Amino acid sequence: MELRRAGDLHGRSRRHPPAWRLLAVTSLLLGVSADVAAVFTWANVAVPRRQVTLRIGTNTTGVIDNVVFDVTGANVGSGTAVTAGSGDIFVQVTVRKPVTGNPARAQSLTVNSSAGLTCVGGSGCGTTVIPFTTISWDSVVQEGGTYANWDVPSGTFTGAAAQTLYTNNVNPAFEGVMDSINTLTFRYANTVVYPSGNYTGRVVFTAASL
Amino acid sequence: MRWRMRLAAVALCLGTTSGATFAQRLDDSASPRQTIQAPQVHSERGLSLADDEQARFAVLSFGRIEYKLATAAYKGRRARIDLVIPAVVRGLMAPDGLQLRWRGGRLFADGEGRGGERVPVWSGIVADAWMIDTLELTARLELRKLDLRDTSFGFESYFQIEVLP
Repeated sequence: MELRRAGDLHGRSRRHPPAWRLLAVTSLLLGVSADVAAVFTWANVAVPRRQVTLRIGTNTTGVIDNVVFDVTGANVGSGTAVTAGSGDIFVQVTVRKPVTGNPARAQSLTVNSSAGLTCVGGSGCGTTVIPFTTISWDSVVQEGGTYANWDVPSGTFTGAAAQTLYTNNVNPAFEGVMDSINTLTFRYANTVVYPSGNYTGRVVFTAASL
Repeated sequence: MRWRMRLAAVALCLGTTSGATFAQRLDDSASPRQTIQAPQVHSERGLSLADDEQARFAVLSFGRIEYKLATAAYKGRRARIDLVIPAVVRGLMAPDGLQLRWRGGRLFADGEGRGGERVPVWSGIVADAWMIDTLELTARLELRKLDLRDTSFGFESYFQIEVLP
């Protein structure tokens, strides 16, 4: 009705077919069909999830390795770095992923050293905190070639909550297990004389593969 | 434009298309099931996809699907029916990442095709107002051509009919 009234308003004769009717006829003849429903098929395509495993030190769940520096007597604050007497720390990041067309996603390893080394109660050093920036490490087993930079580089703790040790994009076409393995040997800078006592602190490594 | 001129324009359009044939999408909304989930999703090695870390393909087995096509408008005409595999599917980065294979029932032929292809499944004289048959349908997805934001992957393959001279 509204279309017809509109036609009337434009002075068209009712004997003449309106434009919309001609268009409809034309459309039918040209084979333009109305949208019709179709059977929809779908599935829950649960591709294997990307997995990341991080090992720091001893390969036993729940065990936290200690790195110990003994600075005694005349060596205190001498400026001569002190190497940890407790051995090296093994760092391994393993990424297991399927082949997908997803864009390359970053794999990263960060460390939080913001807490510092606090005085153990009763050991005589009060509220003194030794920052982790006094501790550095040498990293061995550095990869070359294709896997260059897929390592923890040698460095020094920055005291940041999320110090990036490395970030790399995992090729989406890669499928299987990707390992990053290093052994870290820590040393204490020993450039400042702190009150004598026992200090302890913890750094936390975080591996991500998103 | 006066209506005579409009008629002339329509006639011109018809004139340019005379003798040509057009594929029409067939209505299959009367099919018993409109939404079908693949009960089984495997890797190409026949393992559960979620557990196969070396999977390169996902194989979606839909089982036998019954289609009921509205063919009344073509009854008595000689025609060909194609199965159309969509080229654009959410989560599919390249059409050829989707491959369909099917086994027909009493009417439709066996076949296979990739995204964006039309594959003939039947030809002859349309005898009835409804054409009812089944396809045992399997989809094979190439995982490296998928970019799924979630785990759901779905598509709408459909039928087209083309009246033959």
